[in-house]
Formats: sequence, structure tokens, C-alpha cells
Amino acid sequence: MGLVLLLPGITLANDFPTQARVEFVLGCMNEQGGQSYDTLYKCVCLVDAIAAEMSHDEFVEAQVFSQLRSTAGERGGVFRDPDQARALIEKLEAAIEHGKARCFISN
Amino acid sequence: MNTKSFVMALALLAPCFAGANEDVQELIADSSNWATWGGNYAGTRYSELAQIDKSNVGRLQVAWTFSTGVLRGHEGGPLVVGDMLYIHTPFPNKVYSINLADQTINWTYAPTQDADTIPVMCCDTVNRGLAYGDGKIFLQQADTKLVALNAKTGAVVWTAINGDPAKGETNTNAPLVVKDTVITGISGGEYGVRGFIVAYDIATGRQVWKAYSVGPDEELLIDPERTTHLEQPIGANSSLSTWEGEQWRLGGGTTWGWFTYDPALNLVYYGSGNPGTWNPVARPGDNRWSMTLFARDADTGVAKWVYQMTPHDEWDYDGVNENLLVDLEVDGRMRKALVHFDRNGFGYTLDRESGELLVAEKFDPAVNWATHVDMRTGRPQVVDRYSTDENGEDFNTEDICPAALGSKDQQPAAYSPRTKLFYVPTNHVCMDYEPYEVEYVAGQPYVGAVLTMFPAGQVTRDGTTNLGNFIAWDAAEGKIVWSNSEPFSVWSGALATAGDVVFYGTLEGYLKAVDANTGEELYSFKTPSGIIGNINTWTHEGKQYVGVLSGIGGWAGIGMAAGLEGATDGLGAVGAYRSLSRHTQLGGVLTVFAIP
Repeated sequence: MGLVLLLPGITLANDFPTQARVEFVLGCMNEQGGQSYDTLYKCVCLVDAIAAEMSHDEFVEAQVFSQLRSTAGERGGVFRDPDQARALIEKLEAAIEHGKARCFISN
Repeated sequence: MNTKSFVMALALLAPCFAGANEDVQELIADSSNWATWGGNYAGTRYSELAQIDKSNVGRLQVAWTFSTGVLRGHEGGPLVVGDMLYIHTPFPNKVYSINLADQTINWTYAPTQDADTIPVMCCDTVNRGLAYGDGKIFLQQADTKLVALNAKTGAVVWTAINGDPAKGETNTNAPLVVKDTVITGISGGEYGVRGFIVAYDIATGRQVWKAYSVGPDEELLIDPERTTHLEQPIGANSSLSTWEGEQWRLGGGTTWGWFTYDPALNLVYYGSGNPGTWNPVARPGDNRWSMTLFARDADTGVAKWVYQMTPHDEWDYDGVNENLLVDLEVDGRMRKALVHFDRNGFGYTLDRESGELLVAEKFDPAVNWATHVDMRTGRPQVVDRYSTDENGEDFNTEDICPAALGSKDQQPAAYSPRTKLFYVPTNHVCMDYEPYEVEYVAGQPYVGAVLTMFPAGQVTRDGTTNLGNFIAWDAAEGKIVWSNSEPFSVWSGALATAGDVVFYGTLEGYLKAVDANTGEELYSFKTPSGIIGNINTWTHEGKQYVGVLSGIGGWAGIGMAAGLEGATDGLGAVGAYRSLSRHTQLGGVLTVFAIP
């Protein structure tokens, strides 16, 4: 049900702001082994692929849920328990998986 | 020793010179500073600065950033006194003094604290900030050490030990300088700690007075004949008589929230937290004075009045949230009012001189655990089906609103005297709650309840999934004036300014500016991490700046891993922000904005 509620807003908005793309690409390149054209092309490809599958708002909310689910104590519950947390995280994971396949990213 | 002679003895011990208080009041009066956590003693988090206003706030840009070098949750906000900015970090509680002229570090204080303190901090290793007074910066470390630092050099002037982490006692609160004392509290409500408030001498760190939340009258600094509850003398043994046997010794009522002060009435205001275990069946009675607002004499600590909001707590609705001290017209009469947005979901307006209850209304319509507050007795009218005590141990009580983190947690609200509205960061979250039997072991969690949390829309069945709202509240009428839906609970402290702009931060990391009259969003900027800090404002060389800490466990900069399963917990920021390293440290980030 949570998933259905999230879907009506789905348009292939491709609405990631410049700041979000740059931030993502820098972090991604770092993870892929540092700054080079090789990692730049892979990471630009990946952020474009993710942006094609989910809105920036959805991407940001999914990040918050996934990053904060390990928060200690009672506060963490609010990131672990809601239905939309799982739905959004699954959507982000799927977008990353599709993107990796299209962008020659193996790890 | 009876209470009166005890109080006399305290009065004789009190220092006879004045100074620090006037110093702080002068700094507060000049809105180019942000000299105390709330911007002023009344805790209104309102600034007279108006260079940034409704017409130009949309043009804000990041002027500079400072990375704290520490990961995890960054609460509180910067203090600014003259040309110097002071910023703190979560455990290990570093303090930086930064020259506003060139953003270089003037001095750093980096304490060594026993890492064993971390596991006994229930809710992340946060610290809510510093206090300034008498040429000193005051830091309340997690390990309970209160430290006075020379504001110019960072040298330690004195330290005071405020508790024992081995018993679960820790600290997260910002201290408050009042007259010639520094006031602080204690955390550890999930560890059976008995809460107290202490005043230390500002020059030496010697204890001036200490007042417990629960226990015998002489330790509460209560005068049974003169201290009142809703204008009636509270009588002898007001706390002891509401606990079974010796249970008060693990009675909770910790004091981890904010302190405010009214210089004219010479009263300090704060609230106490949850009683002992979260399992209500194990502690029959009203459990006084947990979940209570206190007004105490700043010189002696003796309570003038108390008001218990949630007698016999069954949901962990700590009463520690801030108390804003504002003069308001209520029912046609000007009042020296105190406004408090409690975790229990009620917005309270009291007469701060007498403790009379004036308004108690829900500030989130989803609140369902009580129908209303009886204005004569002050008691919430609890709905049986949401009573975790009524339903008993090992029974899962469902759909209670709000959840244990409350309709609002510690993140402080703001008040604008121009709009006469209160701006409140809120949670819109409900829970299932199942208490179970638990034995007390010193230094171990003493909780005894299992919780599940979900959006309030799941209970109100209105189809919404938002976990928070940012609201404007009329405290004279007890009504919401406008409400902005937020995807996540709002855990940042608000700021209101004479430019009729209200600022707050979100867990996605957005700093938002909204119209103080309508709530319309005027500006939004995504900082490197979630914001649970407070937004403060100041001027340097005549120009207005707005600053906020971001940092809460995960970092946006970690790119495609996005913290998925097994969270790299912000380590990616090391790479993403390498280029910032010349003037900054890695970790949580203070982001400072200005109009170009």
C-alpha cells in the first residue's frame, strides 16, 4: 500500500539539481577509485540513470531512510518502521542496480 | 535540616558580587551577537536583524562553511560574541573558536573522554551547545564534566564533575549562565537516573545549589507551604507520596532540555523527563515530579511553582522541552506567559509568575492518548484504549499518537513579537507500545517497552505519509495558524527574525526560509547532511549572517552507496569534501549564509 501511495507522483522528472548531480558524481568517483575520466563517465552515467527512474525528492527521502535506519534508540524507529521507508529504499536500490548494468559498473 | 534553614544556608553561601549576568544581558541586547542558545534569556530565538527579509531571502548564498571533524548527530548551534564564533561538536565534544574576519581557528579545545560514556547515551552522542559569560565559554561534556574555558585562549579555568557515567549519568544539554552561576542538568532517563538541576559558581565551579526532580522535599528544594502546583501549596512529601516504597531512587525526571530565565522575576524555567522505567505497571502513582515544569528561584534553587503535565507517564512523554517566556494577551488580560510545546502533544500557556494554567490544546490534531486537559486539575483525560498501563504488561497497545519521541522533541521553537506567532518544529508520528517487566542494573538500559513507529496518517486514515509538520501556533488561543507538511520529523530548532522570515532545517539537509505570516517557502538549500541543529543569526562588520550545523550519522556525499545496508556512516564524506580541508576539518558542517 505504501508503494501505491508513492507512485501517483511518478513522472520521469529528471529533476536532479546541478548540486545533487555534482555531489553524487564526486562521491561515486571516490568510491570507484578516485578522479579519472574512467570513473567520471561511469558515475555521470549512473546519476543520469537514477534521475531517470525517480524524482529528486524521492531520491533524497530514500537516502534519509537508508542512512538513518541504524540510528540508535527510540529515534531510529521512525526511520525503520514506516511502510514508505522500505518502498523508497527498494526503489533506490533498483534504480542503482539498473544504472550499474547500463554503465559498466561492476562493484 | 528543614527547608527554610537549608535555604537560608544557601543564601549565605551565595556570592555577593554581580557581573556575569549584566554582561550576558548586554551582549543579548545587541542583536549583532548570538550570545545564548535561545538568542535571549526568554528563549524566543527571535532576532531584531532585518537585512535578510521576505523580499531578498531567496537570494541567499553560502558564504562559508566549517567542518567540525566529528561524525554523528550535530545538535545546538553556534554562539557569536563580537568578532568570535564558538562552535561545539558531538562526543568527544570539541570546541572551536573561529575568527569571523577570516574563518580561521583561534583556538580548539579537544577533551579526552572515556569512550565507555558512549554506550550509556540513549539517543546518539549529541551536545546542544555552549554558554558564554564572565569572559568564559562553558561546555557540558558527555562524561558529565562541566568545563569553563577562557573565551580568549581556550585555556581551562575550572571543571566540575556533575555525575557518574558508570550509573548511566551523562550530559547532552547546553548550560545557561544566570547571574554568577552556570546552570546545568543531567541525562540518563533510560538508565534509572534520578534527575536534578545544579547551579555552579561562575568564578570557581563550586556547587551553589542542587535540586532533584523526585525524592524528599529537602532534596527537591521545595517549600511545602509556599511552592505551588496550579496555585495551591503542594504540601509535605509531594513526591515521595506518589511512588511505591523506594522507587523514587530510580525515579527519572532527568533534565536534559533547555533552561530559560526571567531576570525580572528571577526565576529559572525547565522541565523534567520520564519517570524510572518505561513500564508504567511497575511504578504505580503519579510519579511526581517527573514530566513537570519547574520555576525555581535563581539564587536559592527553591521552586516557586511546579506543574506536572503527564502524571504517571505511560508513553515516555518527557517534559523537558523549552519554555518560551513571552508577554501575551490571554482572554483580554496581559500575562507574563510561559509557552511550552510538550512531547505529549499539548501546547501549554501558563502564567509564568503564578504557574496558573491558561491554555492547554493539541498542537497536532492527530494526538489521541488524551481527549483534553482538565483546566481545574491540570490532568490530561487519558483515553483507556491508549493507556499502556490499563492494557498491562506484554500487551501491545496500538495506534497511540504521538509516538514516544513526542509531537515535538527538544528542538526549540521560535516566537516573533511582530506576528505574535510561535513557530514549532513537530513530529507527526504514532506508535504501538508494549511494556514488559525489567530489572534495574546500574549503567544498563532501564526501559522495559517495545515500540513500533509509523506516520500519523496511518491512524487518522487521511492518506498522508508525512512524518512531520512545521507549524505556526497562536498560544493565546491554542490554535494552529498554518502548517507545512514535511516528509520527515522536523528536528531542527527554528529562528524568527524582524525580516518576517522564519528559518528551520530538515532531515534531508534542507535549510528552509518561510514567510512568517503565511508559511510560504521562500528559500531552500541542501546542506551536506541532515539538519538537527538550531539556526542562529548574527552580524559581522554590519552584515547579517545565518548559520546552521548539519550532520546526523549518514552523509549525502557518499554517492551511490547511499548508506544502503550496513551504512558506511558518513565516512564517504572524507573523500567528497577533501577539497574543503584547508580551513576546515572533516565531519559535521557549519554552513553560513548571507546575501551577496
